[in-house]
Amino acid sequence: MEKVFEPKVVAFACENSACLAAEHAVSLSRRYPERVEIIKIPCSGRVDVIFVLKALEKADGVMVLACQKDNCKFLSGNVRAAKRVGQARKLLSEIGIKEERVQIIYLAANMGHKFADSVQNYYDFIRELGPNPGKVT
Amino acid sequence: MKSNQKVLIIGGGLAGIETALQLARPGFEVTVAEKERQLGGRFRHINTVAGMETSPRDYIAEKINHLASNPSVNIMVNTVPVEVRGLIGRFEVALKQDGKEFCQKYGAIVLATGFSNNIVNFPQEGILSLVQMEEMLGKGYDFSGKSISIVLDSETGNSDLLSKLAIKNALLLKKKYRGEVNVFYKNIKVSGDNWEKLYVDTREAGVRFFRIVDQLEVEECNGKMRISFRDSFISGMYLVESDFVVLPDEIESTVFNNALGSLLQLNLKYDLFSGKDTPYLDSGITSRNGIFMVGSCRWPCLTNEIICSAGAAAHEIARQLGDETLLDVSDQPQVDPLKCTVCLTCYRCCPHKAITIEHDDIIDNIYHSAARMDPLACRRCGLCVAECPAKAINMPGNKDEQILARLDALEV
Repeated sequence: MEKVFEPKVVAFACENSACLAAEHAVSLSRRYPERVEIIKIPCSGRVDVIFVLKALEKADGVMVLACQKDNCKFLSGNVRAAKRVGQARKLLSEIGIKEERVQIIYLAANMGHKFADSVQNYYDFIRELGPNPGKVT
Repeated sequence: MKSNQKVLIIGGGLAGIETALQLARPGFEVTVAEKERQLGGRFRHINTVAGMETSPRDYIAEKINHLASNPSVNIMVNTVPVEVRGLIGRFEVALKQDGKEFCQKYGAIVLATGFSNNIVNFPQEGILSLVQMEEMLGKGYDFSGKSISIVLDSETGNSDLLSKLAIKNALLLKKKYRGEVNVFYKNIKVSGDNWEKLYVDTREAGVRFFRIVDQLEVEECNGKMRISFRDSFISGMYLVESDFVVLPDEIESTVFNNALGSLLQLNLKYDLFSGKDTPYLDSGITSRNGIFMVGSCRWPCLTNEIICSAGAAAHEIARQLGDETLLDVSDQPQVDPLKCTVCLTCYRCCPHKAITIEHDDIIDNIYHSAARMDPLACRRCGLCVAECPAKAINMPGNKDEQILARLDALEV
């Protein structure tokens, strides 16, 4: 029997919104895939391009979970995060990796359902996409 | 190093006075700088405050007396700020009083400059703005037997100030002057304590409300103002004649729309006044630590909201200036001077203007200069850490190595 592909996804989560949304999802008894690894960061603006690339050496997809637009506690953190995701996507497409393997998603702390939905959707999307060819083994 | 405990309040209206009183109570030295000849601001000119028995003039006079008799409060009239330098705990402000400039040092700055309503000079005499009408009532203008039409067709963000002003004065005109009062509205917002009741009272007192769909038209006809409008419930055009037409004001923040914002280097991209307010900024904080906005310069406020926001800001100021644990540098981004090339990237990208460039011979690089994050001004977001092209900045607890190690250890 053929083994079903279960992707690995890294989620960089802003501690002011997405981390709280993850807790909220748990309190709502919403489940999200176990193979999504949440890495807590002080602000989505802390995400560096190198983190995304490094994560893709082992994982199949990377999510950057930022605060809603115009609602960043640090004013421009989510704007900078979006820029860096764009930069990472450019580098990925240059080396022939689908840029959709990096995604930015905007959340607020009270969006437990949206958190669970968007993580699940992205996970399913990456499963459709198949394993990341750029993995370093 | 203990920070400077003096606070400068720009604007001597109700918001400024209330913040000064709240700060003076725990012992802060406060300076109130007012650009006009006397304190009181817009509150001096208004007629009534809903739910308050005393007249606004007596109320503000009592507050000013309290303020003037407080030994830790320094009142400066005819004074405006012309230059602001430094960070929280050590602001240097150049103030200009009666043409003379002088420099003062403060730990924090509060903006309490209120809103500005663009006074439009209407061509006809019978047209007023809502704020103008409030001031006319305050001066004691007699509206007896006059018919008045109030139009509410503009929207200033999500603020309900204009709706409340209209409702309050419609009831007053009906009850006190016994005139005929019409309110034309697209949307009325009267949330808050007792405001719903006031709205119901206004309807019961005989004020007529018309919900309009399109733009309504006003023209002068035999000394009267004639309003033609389309009613949304009974379709068709209707005509109403009255002596006065009252239009809504265009309200703007005095911080976002003049030089004050750039003087204080505030990040004005996130305009709170347009309704996109951020819950993180509730206690009056702005994009920079040590600079606060209170009252109607943040958001068009009524009396009780001004007092609440003054209290919240005073509390936050006491926290930011009084708490010495905030000076703890162990969790803030730190610069490795050996790697810093003084490229100013961090200086430019810091949303809180918390970064200074230090020049000192003991700094161990060829420039003898390096960026420095001020512990009080820094909010620990880590933006500069990710932004630094030389990777010279690191943040304890969220170091590059720590996050990369975590990614390295990822179980696949």
